[in-house]
Amino acid sequence: MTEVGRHRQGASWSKKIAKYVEMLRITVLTDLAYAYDMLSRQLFLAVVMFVFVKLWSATYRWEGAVSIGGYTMRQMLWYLALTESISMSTPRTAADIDDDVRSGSLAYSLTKPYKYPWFLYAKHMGKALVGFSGSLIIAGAVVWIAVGPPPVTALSCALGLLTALLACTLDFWAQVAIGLSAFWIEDGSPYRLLYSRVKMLLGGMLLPLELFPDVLRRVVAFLPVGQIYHGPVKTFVSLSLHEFVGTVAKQVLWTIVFIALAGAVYKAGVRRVNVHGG
Amino acid sequence: MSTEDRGTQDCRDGTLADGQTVRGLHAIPSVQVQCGTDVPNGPEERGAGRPSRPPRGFRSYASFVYEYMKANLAMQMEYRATFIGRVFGMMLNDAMWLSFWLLYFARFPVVRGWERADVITLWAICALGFGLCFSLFGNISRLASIVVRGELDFYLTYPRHVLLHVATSRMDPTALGDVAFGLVVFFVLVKPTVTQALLFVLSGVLAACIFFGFTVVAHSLAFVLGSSELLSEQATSMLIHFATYPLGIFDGPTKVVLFTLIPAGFINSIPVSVVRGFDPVFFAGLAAAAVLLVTASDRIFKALLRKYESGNLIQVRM
Repeated sequence: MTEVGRHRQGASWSKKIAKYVEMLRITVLTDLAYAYDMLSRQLFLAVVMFVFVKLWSATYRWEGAVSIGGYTMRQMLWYLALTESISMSTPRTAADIDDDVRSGSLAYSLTKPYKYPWFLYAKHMGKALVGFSGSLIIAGAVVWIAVGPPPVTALSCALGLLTALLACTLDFWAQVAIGLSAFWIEDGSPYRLLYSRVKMLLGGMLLPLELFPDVLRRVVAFLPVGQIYHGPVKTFVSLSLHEFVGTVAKQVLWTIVFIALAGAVYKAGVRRVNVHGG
Repeated sequence: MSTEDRGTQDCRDGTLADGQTVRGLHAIPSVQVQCGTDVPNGPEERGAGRPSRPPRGFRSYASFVYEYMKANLAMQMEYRATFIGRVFGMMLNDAMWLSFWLLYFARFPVVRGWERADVITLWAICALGFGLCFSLFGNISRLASIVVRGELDFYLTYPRHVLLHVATSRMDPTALGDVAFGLVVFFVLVKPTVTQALLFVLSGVLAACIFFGFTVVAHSLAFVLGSSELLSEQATSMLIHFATYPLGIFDGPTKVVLFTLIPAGFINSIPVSVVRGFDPVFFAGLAAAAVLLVTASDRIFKALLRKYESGNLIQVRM
């Protein structure tokens, strides 16, 4: 390939990415326009965190322990504030895809000059970014009042953000694979519920994996659900470079697996789309 | 005589159900077309043509609720696979939450006097109470929205208890999953004695009354505040959330709130104060709270109904 050809290809890639970045920007601006509405919807998170503060205060006092599973009470409560914030801000992309397939909006998207899954990815990340910030303000305020500031450093924040972005990406592709099953199944909601509950329980959203029974912990630590909440949040509140590298490697591996799976499901499913005129 | 006929007859001179006088209600009632399910107004109404008197009495209302329940269930069964999927989905959802507690108690066997069996009982009671309430009276979770949109007209034109009619006219199919979960978990995992089983079922009914009363009061705020659906939903979610955590983890001021403003304390005390060791004083308090909440919710709904303004909508009920 000549220099000119390489340059053109580079420009073409940057143009392609630019349109998805623009979609992300528009999503962020749209969600920010309803920031107060979003915050009022997430006020319930304050109740959730208040109950967690009570539960774990009682647990640490009853056990008479300074650290449980390697977490001090401050680390534990900030861990839960972060997992809850991620959970509350995760967009329901699988449900959106389900709607698009059933309503026929997907056919409309196919005629547009973008790839449907990447368009959704830009939207997903934009919504998650705004939602996470809002949730963290509410959950963080409750926990800050209860146990003080978060136990983070500049490095743990930077690496935590990186793993959080990868976790969001992994979750997105898993949701795409589930959502696209609407091409074949009558109602995808039970599968979406199953995924979200498995993620919630086994992903370490309510309880750090270190408190799981040993065998279960070892299994879950390798599964994709273990990389969505526990991996990134552990990096934030209790950074270990060894664990961080392991988390990133597993996140990348599982993301590739889900991209391949979602791609195969999408290709097979799009062939079933019937477009009628009008 | 069909329900539509009765409604038309009763509303033609402006008289509304249960003697309610509704300020702001437009003179012309909204047009209603009801298809599919025709729920009788009770046994005494089946003799058509007689001048009608608002039906009263427990048997009449029990029959009314039963007929609506059958109709709601038949409607759900039209989409059998989806219905079954939702019921099992809810059982799975509850099972996941219970699994969290099982993992927690595997690590911390006793916390503030609460043990594994207590928290299983707590989840079983909450699931049974919530399930009974929302499988029979599923529409109360939409009450604020119905009020805000001015969609109460349909119910006001019938000679039936308005709140009961609104509440029973829709079921939450997932709530049946809660009922099944509560019963299965309690009888399989706790292995109760006969007395404990009876107390469990009775407590489940009382918990259902608390869920009903609180939800109705929270949603009735829409009569006063307008678009308060979010507030009402969050208030109900708060009750459910606090009710599913052991009372033992909460201290003084929070406990006061949980036995007054958000009556979750009556529900999350049941495993320790009723099922594990029966405390007659607490049980009497629980029963009194349940009766008081249901009665108060009815009174509050009726009082605030005066502020209702019709949406003057043309609706088709399918």
